[in-house]
Amino acid sequence: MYYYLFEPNSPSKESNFSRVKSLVSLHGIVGEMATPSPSRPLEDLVTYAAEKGYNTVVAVGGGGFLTSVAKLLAKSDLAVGCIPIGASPELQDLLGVKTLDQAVLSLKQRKVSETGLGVIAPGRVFLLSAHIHTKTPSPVIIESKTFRVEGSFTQLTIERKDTVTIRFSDRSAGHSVVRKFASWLIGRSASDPTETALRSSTLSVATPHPLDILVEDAPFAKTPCKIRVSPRALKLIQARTTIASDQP
Amino acid sequence: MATFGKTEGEGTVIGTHVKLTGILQDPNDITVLGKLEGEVHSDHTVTVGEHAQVKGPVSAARAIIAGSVKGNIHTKDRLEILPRGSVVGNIETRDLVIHSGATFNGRCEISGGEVHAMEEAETPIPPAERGKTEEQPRRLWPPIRLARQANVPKPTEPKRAEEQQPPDQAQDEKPTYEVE
Repeated sequence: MYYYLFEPNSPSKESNFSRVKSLVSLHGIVGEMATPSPSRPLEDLVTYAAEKGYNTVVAVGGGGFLTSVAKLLAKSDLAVGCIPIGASPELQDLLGVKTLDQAVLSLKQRKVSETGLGVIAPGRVFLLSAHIHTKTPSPVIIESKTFRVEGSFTQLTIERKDTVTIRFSDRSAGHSVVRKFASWLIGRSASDPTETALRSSTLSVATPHPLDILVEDAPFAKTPCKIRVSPRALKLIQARTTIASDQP
Repeated sequence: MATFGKTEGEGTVIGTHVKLTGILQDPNDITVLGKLEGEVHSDHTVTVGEHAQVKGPVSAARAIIAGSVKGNIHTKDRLEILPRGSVVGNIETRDLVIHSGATFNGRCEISGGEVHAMEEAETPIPPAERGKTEEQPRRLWPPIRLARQANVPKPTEPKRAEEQQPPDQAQDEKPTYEVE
């Protein structure tokens, strides 16, 4: 009982959409298919899928489209699958698939995992990591219930798993390039001493000026913001891991 | 020895030029390379980098101090103060290593059992050099090692004067060292 939703306004992905249709037919997991439009928005289609009794909604497209579908199906009994097209390596890693064939096979095997969703108040949900980039270092204050961190950054990443993880580093701090070159010379990877990694159930990020928070390179929210994880909020279909056999 | 800035699994790292105030608690590794004022709690290893400053108590399974700590340190297993490390505060641990050049000002308690020896540990001799040891002077490294030795006799080494005490008398003494 699969309900397929195709990413709208993606002419460059049309050829892949055709291939997806033939692959799901080949694997025997064909189902109803729809593309959101102004007359039939995504919210209406997802509601329709739930009312019709489908147990799996499959997003066909990129990470942004999957996030939109995931937001609507958070805390729902419906499982969410994804056939990534033009998606980032991060989304491929999350799903455990790299090709269309693997994605369709993963849907057929239907291994459902409960995963957490990141929530940036008020009510913005993210599945893939969010980023803030600045050309010049920006001061930042990150607070949790128990600590307060002051620093500066040029790159900041917000990840969601069981907890919120924020990593930030100041690449302008001088010796990064030198260290990288030195580590390249001696063939060892050196860690960035300016990198900070913090984890908590809830973290707030404040900067002197509002900065764009990007997900999949698209503006998603702005600072200041408060981030938390909604644990086990999404039933996501991921690829089965291969277990090596002991027998020759 | 720890690799600063890297943690096993998902840990917490306080980078250089970063200041944290409050209580930092993480079941995974914690690495401090900047400044921290408050408490540090970890179920694994707390590493304080060379230029890092920690003001407050530290509790962990293991701790490696290469920077400055002003506060009490409690480790379940092992505490190592590296050559440029500085600790001002009381220490409670099972296994303590203080390298030459390190600073420690406080009271130290070796917990969890008897302490049979306070000895100078020697660098293990590489197999290739084992034949030459009689002619070459041995380097001492690290200079001081305080460790609990859980009832493992050393038959090949001559016993020291303090080890030749009767067992009952040795057990009555509290395994506490004060180093300034």
